[in-house]
Amino acid sequence: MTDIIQTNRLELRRPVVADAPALAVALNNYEITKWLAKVPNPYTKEDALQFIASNADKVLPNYHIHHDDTLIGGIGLGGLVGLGYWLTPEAWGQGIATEASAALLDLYFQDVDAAPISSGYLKDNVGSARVQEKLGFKITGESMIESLLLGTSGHVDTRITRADWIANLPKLPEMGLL
Amino acid sequence: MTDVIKTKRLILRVPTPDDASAVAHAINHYDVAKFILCPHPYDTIGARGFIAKNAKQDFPAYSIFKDDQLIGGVELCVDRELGYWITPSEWGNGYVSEASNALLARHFADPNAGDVTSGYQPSNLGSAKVQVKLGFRIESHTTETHPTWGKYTHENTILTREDWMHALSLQS
Repeated sequence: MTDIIQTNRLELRRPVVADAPALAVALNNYEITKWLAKVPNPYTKEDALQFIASNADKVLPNYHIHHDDTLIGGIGLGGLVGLGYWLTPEAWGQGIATEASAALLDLYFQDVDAAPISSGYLKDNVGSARVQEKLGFKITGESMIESLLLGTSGHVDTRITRADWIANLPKLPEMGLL
Repeated sequence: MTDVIKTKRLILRVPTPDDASAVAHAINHYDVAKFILCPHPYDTIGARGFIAKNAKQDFPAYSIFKDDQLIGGVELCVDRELGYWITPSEWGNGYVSEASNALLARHFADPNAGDVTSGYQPSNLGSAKVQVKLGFRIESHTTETHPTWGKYTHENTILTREDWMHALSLQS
């Protein structure tokens, strides 16, 4: 995928080493990381550098979400979890995760043979549940996962196929996303 | 109708015999042909035949020009069916929506204008997006067989004047 993806309000950029301080500040927040099973708290600059380095050669890379040149979150489609994202609390409730996810899914599903994308959320994460519902993800089941901060936790497993994505397109204009 | 329609970025006009090689060049891509079910390969002779026939229509197809370059085609034919194509290097820029909206605006200028129909193959994500953006709704789903392209599925869509105007208000 490309290095920069532009959406209505956001810019998704491939993380670079220079992002490490800003990433460490933004993600060092229990209110965010409690929803992310594998992100530690506290979150240090070392953690940030390690993440940025590990992301360098991925086919489906993670992106940083920038708004007005400020790093406000992260998102990716690759890896075991499928679609995953986080936002700083000030950015919650404005459709930003939905907008960023829609941009990535749109690019990904350009390929006619694109495999389904999995995702999910910890059971109490209503914000994330809403994002995935708006995008057309379907719930496939529930599982127990090991969260670094919360221990064994209930998780809702979701998935979206290319056909689901296309079937959900009519919902996007009302959200200003087409 | 031999008029020229100008939009923000495009010029639409009915192709003349001089456009034959440009039409052939722009349309001669497997990724275009499979969705509009035209012959592939598509050569200048085929384009000349199309241009001659098209010029005699009451509601002819328009070629889409960007910076004097022919990049696609759009039509709203006599039975009020919208069709379009765009050469692959120009996909993703909103040109089909822009060109289609120009023809739809002319059609729906009449408050009593009838609904417009269209459709797309479900695998054609670009076309699905265009039609959602324009306000079309899926009405039915059919499986058809084309003499050269074989079996294909088709979402049949419909656009009312009201839905078009609502969709227009949502477009930035």
